[in-house]
Amino acid sequence: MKQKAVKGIKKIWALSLSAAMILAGGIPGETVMAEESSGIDHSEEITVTMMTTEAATQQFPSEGYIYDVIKEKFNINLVVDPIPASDYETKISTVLASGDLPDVLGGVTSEKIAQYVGTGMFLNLSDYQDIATDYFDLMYADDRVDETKKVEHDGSLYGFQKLEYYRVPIASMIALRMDLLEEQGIETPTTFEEYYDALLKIKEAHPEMYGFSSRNGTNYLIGAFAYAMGTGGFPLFQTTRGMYYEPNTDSYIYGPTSENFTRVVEFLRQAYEDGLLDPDYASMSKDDYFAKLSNGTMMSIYDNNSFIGRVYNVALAEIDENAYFDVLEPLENEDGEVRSYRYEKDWPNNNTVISSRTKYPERVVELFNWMYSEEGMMCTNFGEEGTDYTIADDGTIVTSQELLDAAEGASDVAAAVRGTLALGLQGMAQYVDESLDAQITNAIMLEQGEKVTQWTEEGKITFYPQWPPFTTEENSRITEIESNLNNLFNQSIDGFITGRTSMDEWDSFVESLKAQGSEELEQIFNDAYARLQ
Amino acid sequence: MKKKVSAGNRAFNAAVMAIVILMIIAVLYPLYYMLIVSISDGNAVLRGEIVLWPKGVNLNAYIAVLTNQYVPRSYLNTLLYTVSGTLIAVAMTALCAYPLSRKDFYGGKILTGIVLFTMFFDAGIISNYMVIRSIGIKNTAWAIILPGAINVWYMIIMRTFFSGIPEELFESARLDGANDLVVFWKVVLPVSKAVLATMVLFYAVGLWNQWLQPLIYLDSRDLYPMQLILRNIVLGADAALSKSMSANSDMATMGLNIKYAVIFITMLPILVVYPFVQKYFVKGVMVGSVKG
Amino acid sequence: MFALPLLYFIVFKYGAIAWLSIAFYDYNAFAGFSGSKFVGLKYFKQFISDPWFWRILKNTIVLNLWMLVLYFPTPIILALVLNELKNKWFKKAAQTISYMPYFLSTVVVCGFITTILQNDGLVNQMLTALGLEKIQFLMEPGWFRPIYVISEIWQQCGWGSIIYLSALAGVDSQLYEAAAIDGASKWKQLIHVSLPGIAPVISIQFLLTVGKLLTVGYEKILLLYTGATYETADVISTYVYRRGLMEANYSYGSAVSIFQAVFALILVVWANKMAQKMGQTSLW
Repeated sequence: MKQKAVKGIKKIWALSLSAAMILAGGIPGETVMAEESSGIDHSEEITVTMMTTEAATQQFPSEGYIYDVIKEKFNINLVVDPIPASDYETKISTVLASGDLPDVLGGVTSEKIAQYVGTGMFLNLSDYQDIATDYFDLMYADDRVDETKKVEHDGSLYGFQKLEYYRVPIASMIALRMDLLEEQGIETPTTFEEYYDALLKIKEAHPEMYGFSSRNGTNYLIGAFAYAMGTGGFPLFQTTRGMYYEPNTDSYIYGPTSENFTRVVEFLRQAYEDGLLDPDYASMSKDDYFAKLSNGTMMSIYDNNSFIGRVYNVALAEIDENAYFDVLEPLENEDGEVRSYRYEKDWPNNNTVISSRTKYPERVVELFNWMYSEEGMMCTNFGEEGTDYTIADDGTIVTSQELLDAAEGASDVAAAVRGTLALGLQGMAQYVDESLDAQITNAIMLEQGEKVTQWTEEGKITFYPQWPPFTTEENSRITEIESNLNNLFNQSIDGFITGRTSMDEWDSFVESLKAQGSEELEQIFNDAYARLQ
Repeated sequence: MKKKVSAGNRAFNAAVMAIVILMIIAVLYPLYYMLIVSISDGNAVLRGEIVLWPKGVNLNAYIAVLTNQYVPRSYLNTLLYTVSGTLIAVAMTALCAYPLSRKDFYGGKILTGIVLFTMFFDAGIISNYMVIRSIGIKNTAWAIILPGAINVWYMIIMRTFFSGIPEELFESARLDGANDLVVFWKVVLPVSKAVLATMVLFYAVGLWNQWLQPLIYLDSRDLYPMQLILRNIVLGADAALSKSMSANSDMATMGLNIKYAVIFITMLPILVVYPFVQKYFVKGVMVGSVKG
Repeated sequence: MFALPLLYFIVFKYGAIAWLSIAFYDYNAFAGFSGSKFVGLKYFKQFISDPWFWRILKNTIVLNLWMLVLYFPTPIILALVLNELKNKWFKKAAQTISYMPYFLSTVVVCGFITTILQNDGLVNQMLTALGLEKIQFLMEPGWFRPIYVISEIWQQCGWGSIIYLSALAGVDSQLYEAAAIDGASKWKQLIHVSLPGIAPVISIQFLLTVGKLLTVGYEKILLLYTGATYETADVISTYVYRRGLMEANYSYGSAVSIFQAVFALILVVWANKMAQKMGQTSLW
């Protein structure tokens, strides 16, 4: 249901919303209602401190409508300290390492939770299940329970994960310069072989162009191709993790030592030799990468599709009106299999945790649970009904003209609108609805989003799965082995790709990876996975 | 200059000019490049088309940075921290360096050892944070101004300068019956203008540029210095890019032009202040005072 | 007079150093020291017995030696050269220009470096024009150190020269006049008047730099290295950073800090002895 077209959702939503309004009996009675239903005493006015991250692209105000609602409804003064996203990692590491937590800490990764849960500094939310009913209902619903189990620690949840209500579907996909394909009279490739041949043919006509490159170094490039080609490792942004989940064997495998991995290496090696792989693939800066995609140097890209429509195509069109990138349907590999990742569902790496030393655990849990309720979700995603948005007859949420006017001229209007009210993913929302973006985003992205949805239904694209939960000992062992493996892998792999190292040495390279503990790593992952079943 | 310039000196002067001109080119072109990128059209910058001349000149990048609602407040904070922090730091450093520069300072060697010892320990972010928290200045302006009050490296340099002051100056002052503080005020400081100016510059720039300490020691945005806000504008886009996979932030277009605009916004005040410091770097400061 | 500075050192410096004793505990921040287990030298052993320990130690020292030999003299030379300029206006302008790169953030400088060094970048275009082979600078272990040192010179040299310029301001101008009357050439004046005039500052700077032999910041290297150049580029700080240990494991990070400090102290005491023997200014 969630993946239907935007308008459909709005209809259902508008209906359920009006139902909720009738039940709540309008604004005046609300406070009383909440008290009666939860049984939590709100008579004492309390102050709750919260530290969270402020995105570069969206401002995070510390006062406004949301805070007023929270004050009125829960009698809580929520004091938010937004920390610049650029350095939030450092800040949060200090806060956690020194044990000096505010009542609420936002933007915590699942990894950090796993790392610090043993210290006892986070409130065990499962102890407050009967208060956090909305949240637990969502987390343990049929469509989420499998992933939820992976973020449990000893059967308990410690974080309020940001969940998606609606998001424009995006994935890591191959996009190709369709105009060049046409120019050369090439059929749209459906297999990796055809894709490679297409690149070669374009290269013949445009020798100054490159086939593809990497935004984030060697492992990022390998990660993009590996899974689709029938192996895996370094999936998406986890460029330090050679492990991946192999659906065919229902187990976790260390990619580089698996048999099919040479396909990826040979592919990249050949591409390097034929001048298809950009020679700067390992060391390129983000700006150069964007430049090459926007000035016509690059034929294709295997990356987040959302940049294509908004960035590259716009800049390309200025120099060549015919030039544009579009996504390819996931390609068939040598095994005749089609598979590819899309970005994980929800935001498992964006959790809000509560300090176990907070004075008012019930009231804080209640507050954050509210954000997953219909009312809380509308408030934290869209603001005040009537003032900030209205619901049209067809159910669509319509942002008020006032807000849109205020955001005029901003490079990202949606972010600017949300920024004035602390709304959405990068604001207070825990249950996120990005339909505002859907209204503002350009057509090609929505079109691609529909394709992603369709290919997901056809099983060609799957959500990137989360890792099984590890014990503290396992985690420290994993860190150690992965560090050793990465040192060896990172310093050798470019030699194979650029042809400086002969492929004859691959087998002995695999052996030395095994000697660094790749098999033990697989064992740890599969044991943890077995515990989950 | 009145005499005829010898061949050797001519070659010497030519070599000097050559080195300086080479240096100027090596430094200026990249800066010029950054300047023209910062005022060029975003998409042209994205395509990497800017090499020698700007294209589609506009000030949008500067406007985007300066209209960030937190910039004015943080700018004021930075000024406050820089001015008060520099005053305190230069005073403290001088107070520390002067006694240690005197050979007749009782226990000077041991104290020098105590001070120097601290220099080799990088206690790390968290240890320093623990100290700031335990003395109760976390999330206050003091947390920014006080911890850097004495930079041992600078202190040693200052001490070296003080030791170079001719002994006759002290003797004549003592004969006039001046005590240590008076000597320090009336004798030492006036002849140390060059090093004091240098210290003012070093500390001020250090305070102006600092972002890690404010990040760690401050929680409240009302106290943030400009660098924290600017860093988020420059780097936040990259950070978000590698972490978040949401459709909702238009990160890629926040490109080089904004990054480079930030550089000039940061650099300008220092460039304006520098000439005032520079005038103390002239030959003969010391001599003039000795005679006077 | 010294009381205030002393108080400062006790509170801010020794206070923080005391916290480094964390290195001997399995520290649980939430439970405090009493709730943490004493583990003795566990983290020191872990660091020293790391399979890459010797490589990162060697790389750190070698990179610093390169800096000492190649970078260290450049601010001195620049200061001496700037000091010789006669045109006041030009002198001031040159000086101002020289230190401007100091204000660029590491990210910007490294972005610039990768851009000019890429396959079709400025440097390779120049090489091709000269009929030479293109070089994949950022993929060759042998090129890492030169790139690092040159970029440091470019960025830091002007700023570093300020201290020498201010020292030169203190050189008695009568000495130059006397030398000129004796018929000393400009070059001779530079060697016999200017250089000795700033020798104490040079010697102090040198001693302090020696103390940093085991310390290299990670930010710049992280942005410039690739797996292919680990062989020369991987240093203590980047390695520890990559293992996520500095942040995640406060105790381990503290152990590394103490290791570096002890090493630095030994070096500086030794270097200071040498300086005293050579009749140079001593640190204490």
